[in-house]
Amino acid sequence: MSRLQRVSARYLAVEALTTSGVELLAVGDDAGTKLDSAIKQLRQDTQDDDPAVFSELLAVARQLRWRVATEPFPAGYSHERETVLQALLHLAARLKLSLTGYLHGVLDELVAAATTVGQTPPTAGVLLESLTEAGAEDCVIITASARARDGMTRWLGDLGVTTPVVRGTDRELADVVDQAYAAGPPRIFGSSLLSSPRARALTYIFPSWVRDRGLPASTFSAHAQGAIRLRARLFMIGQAPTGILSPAVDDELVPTPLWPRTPVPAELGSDEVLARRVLLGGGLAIMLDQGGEHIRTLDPARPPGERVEFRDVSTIAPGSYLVLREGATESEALFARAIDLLGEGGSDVLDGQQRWKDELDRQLDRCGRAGVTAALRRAGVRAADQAPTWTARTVARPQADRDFELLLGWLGLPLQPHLALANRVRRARLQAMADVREALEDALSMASMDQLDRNGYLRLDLSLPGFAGIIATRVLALAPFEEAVPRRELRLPVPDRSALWLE
Amino acid sequence: VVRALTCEIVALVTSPSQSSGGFALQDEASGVAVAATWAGSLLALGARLARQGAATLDGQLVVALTVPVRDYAAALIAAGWTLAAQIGRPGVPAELVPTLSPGTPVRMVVSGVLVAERFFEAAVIGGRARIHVGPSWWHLDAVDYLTAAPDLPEHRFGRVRLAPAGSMVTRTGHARTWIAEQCRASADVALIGTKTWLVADMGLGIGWGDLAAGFDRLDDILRPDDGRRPSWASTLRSAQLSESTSLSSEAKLSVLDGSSAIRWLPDVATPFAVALIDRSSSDEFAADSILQLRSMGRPLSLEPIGWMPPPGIEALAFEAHR
Repeated sequence: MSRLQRVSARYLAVEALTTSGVELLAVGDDAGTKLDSAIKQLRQDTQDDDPAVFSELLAVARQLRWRVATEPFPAGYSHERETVLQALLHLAARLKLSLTGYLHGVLDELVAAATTVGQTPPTAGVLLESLTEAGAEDCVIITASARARDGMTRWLGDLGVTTPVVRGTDRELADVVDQAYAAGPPRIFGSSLLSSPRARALTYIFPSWVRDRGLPASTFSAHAQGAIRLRARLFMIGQAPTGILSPAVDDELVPTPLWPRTPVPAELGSDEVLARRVLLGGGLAIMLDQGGEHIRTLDPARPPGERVEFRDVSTIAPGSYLVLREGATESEALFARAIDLLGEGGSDVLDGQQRWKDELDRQLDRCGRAGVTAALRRAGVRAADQAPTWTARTVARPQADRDFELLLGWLGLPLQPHLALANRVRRARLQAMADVREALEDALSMASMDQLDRNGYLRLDLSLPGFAGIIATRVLALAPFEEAVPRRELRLPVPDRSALWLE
Repeated sequence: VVRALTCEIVALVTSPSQSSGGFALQDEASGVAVAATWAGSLLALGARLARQGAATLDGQLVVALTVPVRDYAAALIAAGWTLAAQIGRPGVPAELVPTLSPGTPVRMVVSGVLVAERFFEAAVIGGRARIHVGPSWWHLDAVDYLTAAPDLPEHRFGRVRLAPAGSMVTRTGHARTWIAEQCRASADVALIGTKTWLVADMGLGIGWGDLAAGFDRLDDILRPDDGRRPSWASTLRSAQLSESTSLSSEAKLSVLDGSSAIRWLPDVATPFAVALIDRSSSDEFAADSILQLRSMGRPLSLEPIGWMPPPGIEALAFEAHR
């Protein structure tokens, strides 16, 4: 099929799905039900205890449950499933030693359930049967993770079944086929599976203990004309387990980290900012300031030369890729390069910049952060909140001309030469950024995007001085709350084990 | 005339029999032709927007669409706009020559080739009127089109073979003015997105009616400005490389292709803007930012524009305050 035929087929597939709706196959799963129930029981029984004690065990158990829900093939094909199981058994045994008796029962149940899900899940048989009925050649299987895709491919390969297996987030424009089977409940795949379908019919297969069976909705559709709205028909396959009481605990299927919470102080220190912890591929984390300057991101799906861009921090979500500098933040290195670019006049420029920055510093010392912000706002400075950040030498000037003008006036300094000098720094910084962007695109065009996709992490060696240790890394999770952190720790990658059981 | 053309393009959508009776796309690489209602509808949207003309709105008219995949959509909308845009009647070359002062750059068409060079003088040689343009003396009666281009810089000088009018150009009534249109140098439309992809989309051929007349390539209709060619009708910008300050443009319509481009929507000053969301991408941010802009502006119904989305496309419109 040509690209044009594939594109046309996608439009027709949306029409077909709108007419026929999607099918949900909830498959009775005894062992999985017990595991799900044991996890929820543990959640409920430990609510009043210190969550940190149980967090790793819960994380491992959820990872195991996630695999049961999204890997409808024998456990032996699931990469490092044994490692997950052994970690669970080990953690449970260790906890049992340190805990009093009342939790032993629930830990025993968890261990028993985890051991029995080590078989072939009932969803595997249902999937195989469906493939045979629909004609394996005209189908595609969609998985929630790269690991599930690889396991599924190997299993089907051993059975001599040639159905292609893709991941839900894969964007390759492939031929549209008759039937797609998604391994897992609808919500974990997002709305693109429904609104940009790879097949003219779509069936989700998942174990019956999964309670969230709703279709994901797009916010745009709610306001749009011609909105795509699909019906779903639910079919129960096999016997739904009976006699297992599962506590009504809100516990998400998608593995999420248990975030350690540090209380936010009433007043921030002069060098502190609020930031969110972001867990990254490669066992790393950064603290990301929400109101801060744009951050460099990477889109591996784009063609070489157009992969890197600066984005607003608010657009960063799990699945985004960030480009970070190891050891020090990028703004320092960029600043150093910008000053280099200024050549001999560099030191004069820096002296001039330092004059207004020192003056602002003095005001901050005298009136405090709140005082300066309030006074500047009264003077008409629109970005007055950012005033404390303007003292950093890496920041050339306030973004808006008018703000800078008003700030200088408020500090009792003349507009020139300060405006001209600050503009020179800004221009040099833009040039430095463009140089880095170009070097990055060059390095990325030679790097393996497959490897980045598989490992969630990639090291790049740039030929640019000061930019040797650059990494590209996938965002795994963002903390739902902010913490107070020293400014120098912002955006600095540090090792963090919290993401260990996420992927 | 414009009204009639637009109505014809719009008829592609409203009357399927007509579209199956002759509207088709052609993949440049494979040569395969495909009948595609969705594509006719996207062309029609561009044409409808062009017809809004001097808009009745104070602000910017934004139409946001979601499509199953981004391919071709932005370029089709832009081509619809370009095909519905009005063009003045080309002048008679012999009447223009006396008004040209020596040294003025001109655009001239001879035997299907656009010549962009400096005009030096006119003379009668061997009983025939000739003009000295660039290094050569041309027979004036062989010149099909001539226009002064005083602002054309020398690095845009050169010769370009023009595309013959295909079935789309012919059916929409542009055949007579096609040469003149291909000499136009104003970027009415700005396409912003992943440039490599936009460039790849330009190879698509569109045909309508008598397909024996051939397909018109989007590249020939839109003639994206590469900074070197002597005539152009659109600009392509990389959303990744753009700085907000570089977005000011002479264009009347901006087509923002994908989330990287859509983040520039608040900075785009054209009276019309189309934002395209690719639903195969899981990025929810683009939709959120559009809804946010809409909540600050004035939601509009699509009915007054005279265009409704076909199956597979979702759409909303609003007036953004500028």
